[in-house]
Amino acid sequence: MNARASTSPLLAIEALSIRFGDDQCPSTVDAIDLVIGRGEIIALVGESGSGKSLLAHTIAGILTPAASVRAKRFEFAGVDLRSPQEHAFASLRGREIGIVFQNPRSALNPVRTVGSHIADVLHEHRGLRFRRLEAAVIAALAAVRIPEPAARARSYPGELSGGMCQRVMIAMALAGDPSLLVADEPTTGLDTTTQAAILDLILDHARARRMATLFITHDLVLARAYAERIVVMHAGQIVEEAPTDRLFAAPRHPYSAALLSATPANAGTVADLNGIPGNLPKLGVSIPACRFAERCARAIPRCRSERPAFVFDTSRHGAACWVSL
Amino acid sequence: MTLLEAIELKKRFPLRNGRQVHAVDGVSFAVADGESLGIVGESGSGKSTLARLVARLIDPSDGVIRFDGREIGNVPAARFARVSARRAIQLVFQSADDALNPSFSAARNIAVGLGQTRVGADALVKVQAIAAEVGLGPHHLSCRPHQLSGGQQARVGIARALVSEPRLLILDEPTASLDVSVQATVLKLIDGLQRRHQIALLFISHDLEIVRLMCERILVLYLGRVAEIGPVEQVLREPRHPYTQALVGATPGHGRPRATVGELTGSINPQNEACLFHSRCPLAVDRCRSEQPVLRAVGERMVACHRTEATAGLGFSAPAGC
Repeated sequence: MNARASTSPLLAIEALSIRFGDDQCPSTVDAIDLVIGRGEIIALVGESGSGKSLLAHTIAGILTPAASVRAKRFEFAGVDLRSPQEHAFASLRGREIGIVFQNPRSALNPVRTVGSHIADVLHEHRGLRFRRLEAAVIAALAAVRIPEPAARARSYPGELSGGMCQRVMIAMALAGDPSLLVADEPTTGLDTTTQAAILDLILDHARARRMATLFITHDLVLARAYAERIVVMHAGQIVEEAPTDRLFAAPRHPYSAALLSATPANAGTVADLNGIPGNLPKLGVSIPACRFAERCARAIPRCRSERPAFVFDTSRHGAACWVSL
Repeated sequence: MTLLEAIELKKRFPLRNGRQVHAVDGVSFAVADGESLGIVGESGSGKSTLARLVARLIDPSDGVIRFDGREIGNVPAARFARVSARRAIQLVFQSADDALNPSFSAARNIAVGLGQTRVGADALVKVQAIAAEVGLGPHHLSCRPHQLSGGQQARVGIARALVSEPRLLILDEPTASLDVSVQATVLKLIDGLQRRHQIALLFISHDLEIVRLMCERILVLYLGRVAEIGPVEQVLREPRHPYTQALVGATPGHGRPRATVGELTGSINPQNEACLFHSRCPLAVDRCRSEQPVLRAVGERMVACHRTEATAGLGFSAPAGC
């Protein structure tokens, strides 16, 4: 690992917000505090519109230029990533921070072989050329358990299954030997049998390399199976953060509890399922209250007038909720 | 009483140079009045083709489809719209967003289920009644699909299918594009409607947990053939086909998901003298490579496997529960 060894966390984010428009616009992703330690496996869970992908893109340094980021602290391995963003990220992106996207087939160039995709990354990060580059490409494909790697290197993305394309994406993300991997819904659209194989692959590499992993998913059950710690997002804010077992045993935020009781795997019969009424709040105006208050069965008047503070208990279990304080 | 019966149903799609995709390859099953049958399998297993065959949107290459005692498989799909069974068999599509006409109001979209594209006075009564039942108010009915949320669009799709009072409802991954909080509401809605109207369900899904909640029986499809069919609790608790075992094992919620099998092979001109699963099967023996297994009764279920004696006793933990 070429990141500077230190006792500080790998990634430290404090009061980070993402806006579309100038500073007067309300923030789409709001007041994010997040710390990721070296080798930690964290799941970021949320429904569509929760802002989880925006946050992931920000961390990976590929946020759309239409958005602007403000943060009190945004450090990766001691490097300040606040503006000018482009400059700070240039040496990290793809090398120290790898990313795997949701739809591998559309992330690969259809008219180039998968081998040439990986060759680009290996050449860029490790300066390899010719024979040694070719050998490294085949080794990279073998490392993500692609059968007949030498033959597959000459395949085009369209000739491979979705699962195989995702393995290629993982090989590209790992080529720079990153210390943080951002996996944005890496198995959405894949079959469960393939999903298990892909997540095993990511996790095995994460453990072997002591690579921190931020696993973004909408699936709480999947997060439970793989992550050590779970961060729950709702409407652009982190509402709860807890060690995995604690979140499932005793969720502190009503939104996390509602998600759990909407999850089929947790229900004995259909009658046990409970949907969450209402919709996400419109984020065009700033909300001085809890963003979940309107959908919350346990809301008290204070929830509608004052934003709840995020409070940790003694076992690193935090929530932003007036009711569960 | 048997409502729907498929016997040795086949659908082949021709490719170049005489090759064929055997999308559905000799599938037989029956659904009783008011019963719910879940169909699961990986992508490419033929789930959606099977749904389209039974819904008579496409013509079978071979085999029999019997609905309410009458053969409907031999009516060309193009003419099926004029057969009375058309209204009795309705389909809810995966992505309501794509399946609704974007230039029609919700009310007109629902009226399509009655074979009408204008909402006349008597149609309006039926449309309003079914809309109220699926939880859509009068203000939703005048909206175009893009003005509705994903959950509301799904409700319009369900209302369109139910407005003609069908006896068989085919749902092709009806909640695949919905968030879990909305999915819960839609699943409850479908379950309630099914019980109230005594509709038979053919519920297609890749999600075993949803099928466990929604269905009484489950059919596991592998490359167009039935691997296992039986009571849902039994099959999921103690699967007896190695493929079902792989599916259940890979599902999170039964402990750490396990990837026990490799990737799906294709269904182009499959070997007829072998089990299609043998190349991925951890239990395969020589017989599996030389003889196609047929469905045999194992207790209350049917399994197409030569090695059922080796698959017994592999139980899975019950769901976590909260």
